[in-house]
Amino acid sequence: MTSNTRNYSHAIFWLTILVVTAALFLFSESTTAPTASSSPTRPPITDSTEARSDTSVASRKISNDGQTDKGSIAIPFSPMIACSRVNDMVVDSRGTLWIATENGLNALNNGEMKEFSESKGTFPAPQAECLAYDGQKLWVGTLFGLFSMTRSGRVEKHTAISQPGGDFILDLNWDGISLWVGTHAGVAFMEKEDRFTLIDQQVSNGGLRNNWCQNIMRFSAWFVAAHDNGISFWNTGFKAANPEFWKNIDSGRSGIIRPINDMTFDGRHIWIATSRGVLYLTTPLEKLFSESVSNFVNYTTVHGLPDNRINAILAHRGAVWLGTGKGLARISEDKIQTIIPADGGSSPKILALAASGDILWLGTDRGVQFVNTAMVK
Amino acid sequence: MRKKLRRIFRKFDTYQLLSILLLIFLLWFSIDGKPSEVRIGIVLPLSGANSARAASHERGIKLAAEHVNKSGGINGKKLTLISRNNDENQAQTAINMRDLIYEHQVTAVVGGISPINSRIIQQYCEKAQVPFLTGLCTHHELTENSSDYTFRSITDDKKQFEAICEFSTRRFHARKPALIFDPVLFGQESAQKFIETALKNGQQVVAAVSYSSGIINFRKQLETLKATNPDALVIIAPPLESAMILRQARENRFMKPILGVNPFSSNEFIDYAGIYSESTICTLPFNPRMGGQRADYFLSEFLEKFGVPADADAAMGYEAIMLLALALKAGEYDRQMVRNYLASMHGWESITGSGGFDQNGNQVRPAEVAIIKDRQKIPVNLEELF
Repeated sequence: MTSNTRNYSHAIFWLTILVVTAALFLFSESTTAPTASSSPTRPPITDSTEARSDTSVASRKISNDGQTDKGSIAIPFSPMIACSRVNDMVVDSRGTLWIATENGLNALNNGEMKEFSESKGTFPAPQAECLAYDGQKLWVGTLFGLFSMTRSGRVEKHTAISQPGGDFILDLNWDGISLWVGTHAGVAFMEKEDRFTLIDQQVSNGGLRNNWCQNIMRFSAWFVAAHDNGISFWNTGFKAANPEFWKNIDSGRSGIIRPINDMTFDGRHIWIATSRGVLYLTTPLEKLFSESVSNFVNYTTVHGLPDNRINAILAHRGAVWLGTGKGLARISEDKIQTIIPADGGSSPKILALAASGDILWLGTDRGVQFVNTAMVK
Repeated sequence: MRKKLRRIFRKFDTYQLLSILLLIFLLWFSIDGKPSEVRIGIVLPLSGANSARAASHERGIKLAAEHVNKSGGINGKKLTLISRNNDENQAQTAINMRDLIYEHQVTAVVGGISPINSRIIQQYCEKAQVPFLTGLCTHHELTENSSDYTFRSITDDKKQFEAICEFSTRRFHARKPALIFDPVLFGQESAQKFIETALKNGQQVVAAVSYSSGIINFRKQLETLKATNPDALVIIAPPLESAMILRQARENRFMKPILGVNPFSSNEFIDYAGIYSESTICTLPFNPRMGGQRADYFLSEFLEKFGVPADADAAMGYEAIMLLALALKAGEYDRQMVRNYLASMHGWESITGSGGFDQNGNQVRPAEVAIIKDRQKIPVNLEELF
């Protein structure tokens, strides 16, 4: 080896050492905060909670305490099938359970879970908010827009509302003919393939009181939207632009607790899931426009509910099923029953409900499981 | 190609190659994959009607973050603030929240003034399980809706109403107060809550009126209230509207006591109301005397850095970040652990005095009542000294 080559190799060696050391130094600088030099570092707050015990942490800790109420029914709960925090669920015609989660979309078929996520490149959004199935396509609402998924797995993006906030799809409803979309900028329904009609405060001339439509529902001639001002009912037999055909129940006056987490219709009455129990509207829908005051009945833990926070509500097979922060409950013939796991396990925090025949799917913060509703008498 | 590489490697000694490999190995394992900073999202209306309050709050937040970083950061990591202006607009608040939670992956969120935008922040935080701490929104519903991740470090309007009702009974023997309330910042539910609180205190609210947002002439509302012959007037409205109502009430020869809540104690209110603010009663969200030396230090630092004196909104911003810093240090940047630590904070000492969160995450500190004298807010228990 000549001396020139030798010098050259030494130079490269020391240069590499220098670069790597500099990289190490820079990285350690970025992870370690600068130390105080001359400025006073008297901590403006002293933590008087230093001496607290771990038990104090549990005072408001999220827990899944089991229920031991006398009015409870113990039935078998299926094992939990793990997935991210569930936002919504729907069962398609093939029996596949589609699950909208905080991590994307999941499909459960014959016990096999398939995950579609942004990180895997199989789903176009970081999370999925709500679902609807129109018999052909699965509609997926996300906080990043509306998507449809065909049976072949092809995903397509749709624009329901082009205004700011219109790409936040908060709820979806398939009424058998049209797809209804609840967003931050109002509601839209699909008229023809991919053509949506907007209904907001402006279009309805104040009929729809607030554009932040968190929950929507469509049945017979009625469209119902739950928003920050309360609940708006529209008689869809008439034009949305005529505020005369809208009825509003104001949350401030009626005592509806915000946010409204979910709604269901049992064939006669509307049931509303709130963070302070379940409300049921005793005023029949046909009398909503003629009666000036709408009456609600409120069921809470006082009446036997396992928890006041009702996250999901579903009218199914003659009963109203409630997914609460502390498990499952059922209201049937004015009787409240808490449904607990027969194996004595803890009741899950239920965030979504979906029914398929006798099977009731429970979407939780840790995954999904199901119960057989035929076992509850 | 292979020959070329072999020729290059031959130029090095074995120890040199081994050293380079060792250094690369060290560099690889020094990267823990975790971000080198802890991000906090700030959502405030930095433009619009409440922009002055929001700007002051943000200054307090920035000063707190600076102090945290100067004293070592969060377990050696830099505390980074990602501030977003929601322009007091619902859709913009939602866009901000989506951006902060899903793009920037913030560990916690601070902000919110108006109840509706605070509820939007709350909704997204609850869904994504991100702790949300507000030092400005006093609407009682925010911590009464079984939320798991919401915390409030400012005394809520329920406690403010209790203090005002109790004081007006004790000092003025007011039995028939009238109420005028803002439809956006307080709303029908707050008015209802005030009426219930007054009733519990043995008072009968003789009239409660609201007004349309943006109006500047309140004479119609004041005439309605005067017709019911109230023995006191309670104004629950933002600072500017409160000042206008107060001025017009006094100009309309309403000589009975006038009381307000936190917005009365803002510099903005006193500036607009001028001489009319004299002898009005308000609740005091920030009393530097309660914070002792910490508060003195904060006030002097704030004045030095921003060239303006700190107000209650700035103090609440400072306190919010300091509380979060404690939780972040204990919670190792994990959202759930940070939330659990905040939930366990039943007692602390800060620049605003003693405080703590109850089981709903609401501030336990009672509201303090003050009287405005010579443009100064004097706590009523110290009134005789001034």
